[in-house]
Amino acid sequence: MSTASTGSDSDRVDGSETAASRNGALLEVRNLKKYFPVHRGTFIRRISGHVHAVDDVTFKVNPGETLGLVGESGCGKSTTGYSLMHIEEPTSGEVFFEGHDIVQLSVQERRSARRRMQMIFQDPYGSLNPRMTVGQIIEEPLIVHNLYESKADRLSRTQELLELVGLAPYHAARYPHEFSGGQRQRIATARALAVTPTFIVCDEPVSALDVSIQAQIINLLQDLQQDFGVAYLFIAHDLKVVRHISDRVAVMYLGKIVETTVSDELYDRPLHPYTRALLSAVPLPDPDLERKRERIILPGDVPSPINPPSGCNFHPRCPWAQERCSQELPQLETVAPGHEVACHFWKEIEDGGGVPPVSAAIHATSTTPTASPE
Amino acid sequence: MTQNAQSLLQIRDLAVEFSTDDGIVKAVNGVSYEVPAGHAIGIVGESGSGKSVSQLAVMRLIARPAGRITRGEVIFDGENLLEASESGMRRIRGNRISMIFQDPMNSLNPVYTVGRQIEESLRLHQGSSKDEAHARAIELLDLVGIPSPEDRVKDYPHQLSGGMQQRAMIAMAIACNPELLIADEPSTALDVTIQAQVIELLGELREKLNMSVILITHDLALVAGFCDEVAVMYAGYIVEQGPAREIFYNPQHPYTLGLLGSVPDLKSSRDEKLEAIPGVPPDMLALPPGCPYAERCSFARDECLTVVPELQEVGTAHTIRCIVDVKSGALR
Repeated sequence: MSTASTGSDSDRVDGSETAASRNGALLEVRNLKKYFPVHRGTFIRRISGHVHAVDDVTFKVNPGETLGLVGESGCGKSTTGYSLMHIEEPTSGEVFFEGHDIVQLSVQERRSARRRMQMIFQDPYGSLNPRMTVGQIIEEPLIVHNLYESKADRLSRTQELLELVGLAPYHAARYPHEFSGGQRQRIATARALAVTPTFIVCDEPVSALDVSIQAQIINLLQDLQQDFGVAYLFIAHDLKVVRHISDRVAVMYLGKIVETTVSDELYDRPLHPYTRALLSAVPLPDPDLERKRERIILPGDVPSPINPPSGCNFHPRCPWAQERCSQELPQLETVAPGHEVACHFWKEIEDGGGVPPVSAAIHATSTTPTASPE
Repeated sequence: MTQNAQSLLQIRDLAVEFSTDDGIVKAVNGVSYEVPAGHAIGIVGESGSGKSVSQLAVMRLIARPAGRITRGEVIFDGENLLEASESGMRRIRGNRISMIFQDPMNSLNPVYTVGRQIEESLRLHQGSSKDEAHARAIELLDLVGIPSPEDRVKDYPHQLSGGMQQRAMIAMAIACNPELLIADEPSTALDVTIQAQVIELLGELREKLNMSVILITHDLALVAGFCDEVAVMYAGYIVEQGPAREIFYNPQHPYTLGLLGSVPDLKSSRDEKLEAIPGVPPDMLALPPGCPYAERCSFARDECLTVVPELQEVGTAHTIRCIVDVKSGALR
């Protein structure tokens, strides 16, 4: 997402040969917005406002890489994934996948363009049809996209996929309820892989699983990436998991990306105050370190996305916030190759050693629950 | 968790079963530990490991007739709670031992104001008058860091955010200055930054009110900074327990090692593979005769499959339920 955020209107490219294929990105998202209307009234329904779920998000995913999208509930990370997949129609913006702007395509065209884009959902209990056998579930995308001539070919492909994700061919005859959460997530992975995708949106694929099972699925996703070169958009709230699996990480807050960086720099050099706070809030399995760690405890809750704060939408909770932050929206600026941050004062904060001013600790427990500027 | 005369709570050989249509689930299988006054104990385990059920048993909140406490003792301040009368328990619950739960939205009553729910326990246990209880409720909301408590006290649970609801739950739990607070995954339903707020608050209150705390969680990292002692549960057994530093810096049970290896840390390189534990936890309806972890354990031997290992002392106050020395791979 290095160049795309500026002047996208002027260099918009029509047709299928696009900027996306020029700079080598597999997926390029520009100025994506998704607003949900909020209705009021029982008989005469009026739109009284909008939930700014995804508010002007721009990023790209290169072939074979994993981009982690991290943030707290309601920050728009899942809606971003849904908008890419057209499960939610984006309000505006462009989504270039393998050179096609899939927002502009007809339903028919989109279906074939999206064959190589798949999704794995958070809840392995809700995302598999309980009335279909595992075999049917994995076979369905092959039928939809008409990939194999004969039933026998499809069946052998199904069995191959089951083995690929660590299940056995005989599992094909069973129903989802016969499997544990981790196994179901393997089934969902097999279904996503069936059509040889180049890109998979993984929406919190491990957060419903127990710790020991999480590690199995993370390892499986990494193995599959190595073998098939598939790219992931890995959406999760667990910073440890995201950092572990991703090449690059984008941090979202209230519908906007506030920082993007390569994974190692995220830990070594977090620049946005929110990223710093997130990192410092992650508990670590180390009693001595935990006791002496400097924690940035953010005051209050995430504000309502219906009426986001003015200027930088993080300013009501930011320990470093200044006058300017409530007036002027910071743009993403490149601070190092592959590292972008949207904060007016990232430089000053970094030079100050990243320790929040004393005032932060004082108002940590005494701000309004839904901090809104009005 | 050694024998300690000042222990506030001693749990000895506690076992809980549930009858289901498919058979008997042995949820807790002989758990023993102590909570010295003023200490924080962490109980860590995955879903179904019996960590919550063992605490519900302490509070005598196991749903009957399906659930039964089949053996054991729960000695709280010299009294065996398992033999206490129902009215005796009612005097203890919410008064001397309180509990907060994972999901604040479902544990608060949606049709009463937050204030009224806090006042209830004050009026019940301490015989406070309406006005006294109301004033105390406001004080408590302030103590747990809820802004403008005079207004919030009149709010219904749905008017508060998840983090604020959990604070209100905590206010309710500490209303009667309990000696022991059992926190069952208090921050799991919350976002990372809110989780940090709640855990910080619990730590502050623990010191201020000199409470003992039992923190139940699936997140090993969460107990690292918070707890003095840690017990790791698996399939209804405590497989390892000891001082927090011992558990994290010198883990001796293969399952604890596996859990620690399953969680990526913030520095690990992307190329390092996680040391995932293979397989899945055992079916609680049909626990194997031997060590419940043997099937997934890379150190397992034939003996492990037949007999449940006895607790063994491996360090000061550090015990494990395993017959293998993980450092050498030999039998202990």
